[in-house]
Amino acid sequence: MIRVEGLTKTFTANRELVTAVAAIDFEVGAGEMVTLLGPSGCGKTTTLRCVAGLEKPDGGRISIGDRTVVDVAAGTFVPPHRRNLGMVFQSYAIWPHMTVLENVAYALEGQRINKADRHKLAMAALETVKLAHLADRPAPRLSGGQQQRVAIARALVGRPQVLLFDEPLSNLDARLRMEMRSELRRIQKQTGLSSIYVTHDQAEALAVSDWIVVMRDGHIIERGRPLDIYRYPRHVFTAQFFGTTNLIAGTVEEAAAGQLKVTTPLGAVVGIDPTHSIARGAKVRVSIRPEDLSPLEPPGGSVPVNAFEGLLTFAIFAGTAVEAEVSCQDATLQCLLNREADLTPGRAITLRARADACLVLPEES
Amino acid sequence: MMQIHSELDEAAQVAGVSWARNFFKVVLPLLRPGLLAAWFWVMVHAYRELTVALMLARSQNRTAAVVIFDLWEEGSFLLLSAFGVIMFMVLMALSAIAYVIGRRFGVQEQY
Repeated sequence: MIRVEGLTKTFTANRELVTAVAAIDFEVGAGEMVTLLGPSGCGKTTTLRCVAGLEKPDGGRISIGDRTVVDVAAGTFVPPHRRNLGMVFQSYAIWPHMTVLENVAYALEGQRINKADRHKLAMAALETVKLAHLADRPAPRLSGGQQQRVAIARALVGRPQVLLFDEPLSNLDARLRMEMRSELRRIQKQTGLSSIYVTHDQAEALAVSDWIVVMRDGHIIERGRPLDIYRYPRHVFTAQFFGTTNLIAGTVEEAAAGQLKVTTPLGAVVGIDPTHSIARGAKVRVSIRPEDLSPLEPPGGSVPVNAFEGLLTFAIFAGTAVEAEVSCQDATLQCLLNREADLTPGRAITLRARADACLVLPEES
Repeated sequence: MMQIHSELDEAAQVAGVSWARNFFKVVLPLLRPGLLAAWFWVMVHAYRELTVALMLARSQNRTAAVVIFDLWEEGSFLLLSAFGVIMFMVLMALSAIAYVIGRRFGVQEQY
């Protein structure tokens, strides 16, 4: 279990004081994987490095298990090698002058274990990542995915209390990344270690996490379970960050019984308010994901709520679906269409969205 | 040393390896090619150091190294020390200039 309270870290860059992390709080429960997600420069890596002890925070407390490793007010700072951590770095940080086995075994040098046992433990860790057959290979002669596995084995070998991942998959190609992220999740579940995972890739965050913490400019914007945060983001920033979404500006006309009616360039849109805070007359943005818009066939007839008439302007085939753009009155909607749909540019099309797929979010200041 | 990725060292720190052990087992081995090259470079220069100075030196125009050598030979240590200090200060000034130029135009460490 990891607890971070009031963590603050500032840097001086070009003689200016920059706040990288501004008094953030979060917790990682026992055996949970928490992802810090955000664009570059949001403070996620700095936060992780503070937990690892590679950065000294300027304020706040961090505890791992029942031990306080940092308490700025009390002057406590436990150096990284006494924190009992396993960490996977973005560059993998494989020591290039050692073999695979030596790389993993070296991580045990700080502990009082004889060489034979060190090698035995290192082999066991390599088994976990399915790399035992390459134990004697010089480390630089491995593919990216294999180096990644060595880095994970090295993080696990010392029987750490927690695991830290700093953008571990960003140097892999797309196919390997998919494979490794399920592998990472499997290993994390199998070992049952509390983990912090840092990434800027929303798909990765959704796939590996128990909880996602969304960060921007050193602050936590919101946190939640992957499905909740994807389905019901409470901020425009989060809605935009997780994949594509249509954001339509509007004004709230009616607010009652959990549903809101919003006047937008598309016409009236009925949606829900995940923040439970929006009142009548408020300036808002309605977020509708492309996959939540489906064509109403045949066009015309009785018009239910949230039906948007428009013209198909643009369509590209993207494998599993067709990404299309529909221009409706004063707004443009992006949607996903079936591969078999009629894709003639300029044809009339009516799109429809369920009310619970239209999220009414406060306008960002 | 800047070319050795800082994460290589940090990985060892997090793994619980002490600084000293890490220096000898990771930093030094990775530094070895660079150290060897530098050593050879200095050796090649040092090898012909005196001959060049002697060749350049004339009775009217003596190089600093030759002056020091002569002073040493004559046993005038007071003058020798003073001359040494002056040489040291000139070198300091040159190094300072090199440092300033390097900081402005050289490779900068990014954070």
